[in-house]
Amino acid sequence: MTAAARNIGGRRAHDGRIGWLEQTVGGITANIEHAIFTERHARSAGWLQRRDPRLKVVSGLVAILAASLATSVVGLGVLYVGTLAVAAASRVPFGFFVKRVWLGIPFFAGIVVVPAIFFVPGPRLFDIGIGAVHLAPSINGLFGAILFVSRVAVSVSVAVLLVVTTPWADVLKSLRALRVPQVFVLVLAMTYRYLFLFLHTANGILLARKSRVVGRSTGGEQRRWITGTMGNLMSRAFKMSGDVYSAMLARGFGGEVRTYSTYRAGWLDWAMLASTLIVAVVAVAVGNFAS
Amino acid sequence: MPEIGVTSESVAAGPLFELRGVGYSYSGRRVALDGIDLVIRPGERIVLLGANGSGKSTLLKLLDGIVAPTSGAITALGRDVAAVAAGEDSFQFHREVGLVFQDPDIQLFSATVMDDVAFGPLQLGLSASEVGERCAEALAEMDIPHIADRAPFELSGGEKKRAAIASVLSLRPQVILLDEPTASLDPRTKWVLVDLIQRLAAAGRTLIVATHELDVVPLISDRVIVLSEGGRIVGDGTPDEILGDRDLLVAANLIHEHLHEHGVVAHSHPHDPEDGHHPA
Amino acid sequence: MHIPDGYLAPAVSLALAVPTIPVWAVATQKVKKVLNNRTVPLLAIFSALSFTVMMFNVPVPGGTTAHAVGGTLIAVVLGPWAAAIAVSVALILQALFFGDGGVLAIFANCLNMAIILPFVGYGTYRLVAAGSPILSTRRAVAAGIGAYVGITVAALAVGIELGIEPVLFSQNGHALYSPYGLREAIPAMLLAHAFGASIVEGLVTGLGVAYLQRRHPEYLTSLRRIFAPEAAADGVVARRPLWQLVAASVGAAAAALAVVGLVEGGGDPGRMFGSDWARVDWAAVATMLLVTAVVGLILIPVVYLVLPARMKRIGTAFAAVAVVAPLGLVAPGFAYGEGSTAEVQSAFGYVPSGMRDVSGVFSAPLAGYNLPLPFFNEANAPLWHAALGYELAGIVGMLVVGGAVFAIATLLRRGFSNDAGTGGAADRRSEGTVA
Repeated sequence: MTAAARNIGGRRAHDGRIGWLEQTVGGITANIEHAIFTERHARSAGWLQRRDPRLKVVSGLVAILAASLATSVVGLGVLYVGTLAVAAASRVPFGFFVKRVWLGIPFFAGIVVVPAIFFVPGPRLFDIGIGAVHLAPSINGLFGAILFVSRVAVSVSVAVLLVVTTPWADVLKSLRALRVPQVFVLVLAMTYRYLFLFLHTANGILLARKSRVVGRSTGGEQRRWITGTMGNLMSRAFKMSGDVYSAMLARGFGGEVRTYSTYRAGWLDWAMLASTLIVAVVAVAVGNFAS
Repeated sequence: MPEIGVTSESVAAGPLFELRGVGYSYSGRRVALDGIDLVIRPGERIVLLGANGSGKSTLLKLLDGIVAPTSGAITALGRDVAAVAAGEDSFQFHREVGLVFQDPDIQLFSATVMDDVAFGPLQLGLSASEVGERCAEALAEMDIPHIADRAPFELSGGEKKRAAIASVLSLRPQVILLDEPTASLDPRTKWVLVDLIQRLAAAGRTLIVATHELDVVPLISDRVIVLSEGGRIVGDGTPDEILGDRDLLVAANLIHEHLHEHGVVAHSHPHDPEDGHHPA
Repeated sequence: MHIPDGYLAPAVSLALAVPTIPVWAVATQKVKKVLNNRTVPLLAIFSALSFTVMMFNVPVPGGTTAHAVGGTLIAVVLGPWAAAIAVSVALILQALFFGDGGVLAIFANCLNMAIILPFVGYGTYRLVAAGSPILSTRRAVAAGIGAYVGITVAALAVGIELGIEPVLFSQNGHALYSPYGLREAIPAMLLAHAFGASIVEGLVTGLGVAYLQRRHPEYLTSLRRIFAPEAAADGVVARRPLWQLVAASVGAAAAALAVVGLVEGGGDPGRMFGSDWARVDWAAVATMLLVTAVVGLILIPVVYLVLPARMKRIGTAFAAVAVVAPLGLVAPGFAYGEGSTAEVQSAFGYVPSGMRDVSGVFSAPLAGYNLPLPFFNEANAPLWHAALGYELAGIVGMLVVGGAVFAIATLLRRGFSNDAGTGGAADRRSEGTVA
């Protein structure tokens, strides 16, 4: 839900009982747990886990692109059924998959899109007058809203499926297949690696504060403390980048980046890509011919 | 690899490292090392013993050619270390000398253990199959093939240390420098590490280990060099000689003296784990 | 501000790669030239830092929390090119791994938050700092202002990207992607940021730079030389007087408005913002401005004095907005969607007869209402009557909504917490304690 909440420009309702500190600690912990969960899951023995990561990433992109291009709910339905089938074959827990997808971004998208249902012109589904207010959802509006929410949901499903069945390191190396520069890939890998160090450190600092603050603190004091913490993290970042550079030098780093991978694409992998392409074409075509 | 053979033969005759009047100070202010004269021969197992801030880590970085001394000169495997630190021949040098950093979080900078272990050999421009072979060998020597695909943030403290050592082993260096390899580990893991370090030495490599833990010293060294807090060498001898010299250890702040009162009689004595006076 | 997949048409998502990819390429080259091989660890670790900074919830005056992006802060320290890469990497990680922001939308998100944000932020910072000494207070303030402007402009960009969707991609009368047009998406994004995330970004950046000045000045002084040797050193270089800055920003704002206005008016200067300016009775407008000014002069200080300390600033800001709101009456058809349907239709092709109701959703307490008395809404009443009506309606609306929210919040808190004797307000202020 943090993901969803963040989309509204970073504003979040304040509950009074759950302060910024708990929110931040909660968010960080959720991210760490998410990472550990997905890394474990990505190594379990499912159908998608065994596929060549490069072709998997390409197939994922094809599916997301198809979701974006599809203009009918039927087309999106076809894609969604496809992701569910693959998720089942890959032993992704059904409850987790459905919940993770639907409770997140599409839920938020749904809320965003609700007002639009009433304002789009055209024939109405029904019209209930309460005083001056007319509750009259437009058929077109409703149709648009359903399409919009399903599109978002299918896109998210594909992305989630890709991530929970592929170790992060493999996702990154696959980006090479998409001609992403080697330096970018190395920076991404290293960022992912050090992210957890920072998250752990930040969590430690936050909990240390939580354990010591007993009195009231003002918003100004809290903000000064947070910026102090960020400054502190930044100064660690400088020191660490220097140290990591020496560690790279110590192993003969000369500026040229090389990565090691032993991927081999078999016929099943190509079959995966081919079937994704077929489903994608069908999903897009259904919309264009049906309406 | 003919050039390795040449290097190994040329150094087999003379010393591996030769330091003359070496000093190092950080950005012209704090002095970390001062007037170090030292000769290290192939096959030696050396412990650099010193309290925190005695310049042990700095000395290891100098020996590894990733920083240049601010005064004096170091010759390592027939090369001038200042030139290596400036980038000259860094490739060739680092396939011979490997440094295991104290903080494995610094050493393990890749997304998975395998990527980290493969990083060094890849820099040498080896073929994929040779890289794979070296990685498998290094992981096996550290008993960690099972964590090859894990991300560093999923590892325990001991696993991280072993992965860090493996990431250096895959370069097949003849000299391995270890910075505080047993620091902040639980006792069981610590002795596992000591075993692994002994294994490294048994394979004929030259080992230089920086530590402040006296109990591991006799197990992993045949020569001990003591650094004072001013970054000077204050002792150089066999483990027995050094560990038997209470005054030296007290002076180097490796053990501390404190006062005990037994009724009306008080006496002071050095404090260290080999002393039965205190439970360890 | 992270746009998920499905909000943007693929054509727009991919079109945004056109400005984004070259900037990445140039940034990589620029950073590499200065840093040599140090680039990789430095950028990686700063990306991780940026990600971590994005995790922090910062309390905003008024009782909500928001999070910062940190793009301007990184730009101030490492320069805008390095910041562009660091924030991009953090965003790519968020999209691929944490599902925050879409995969196809990566280019859009990177353009907004990793390119527009740090560059506008850094530009504003340099402009306001005007060569003042690196360790001066002015630098910290400049960084804060830069960050505020940077993220607000980024929010504007998001508003535009979302807002053009229904204009460009509709089928059988329904929108295929994000359904809100420019005149809903832009104000929604701007309002949400200007009073929330932007304030946080400004505060975090300003205080962050102040912290670095005090504790780690070397990152601001010696590092600057490494990264951008040609940039202002710590000496005093050609101070730019403040009036020049003000003139420059006013000029830039006017130019931007003119461009937007012309675009909306279909290129006809007489129909700026799609409005028929010839219909405006300028004398009535002057009277209205006068009345508005008087109301503002009385109301704003009163609001400031009356409100409890906790919500003084935010409350006053809202009151100010309420007072200024009626100015929108001048531009029928722009501010609150009151243009004739025909005008809008000709401009966009897609039509939303109910569009002004949508804008009402976003600006409900401020506009779209008038008091149901002849004095205010008579057909031929002078404009200032209507303005006054809007203002009163706005204030009443804010009071009602504010009161209702406060009452509900209080009730809920009573319901949930059985801690005897903890007052609602006191409870809220003790958020740092263990609950």
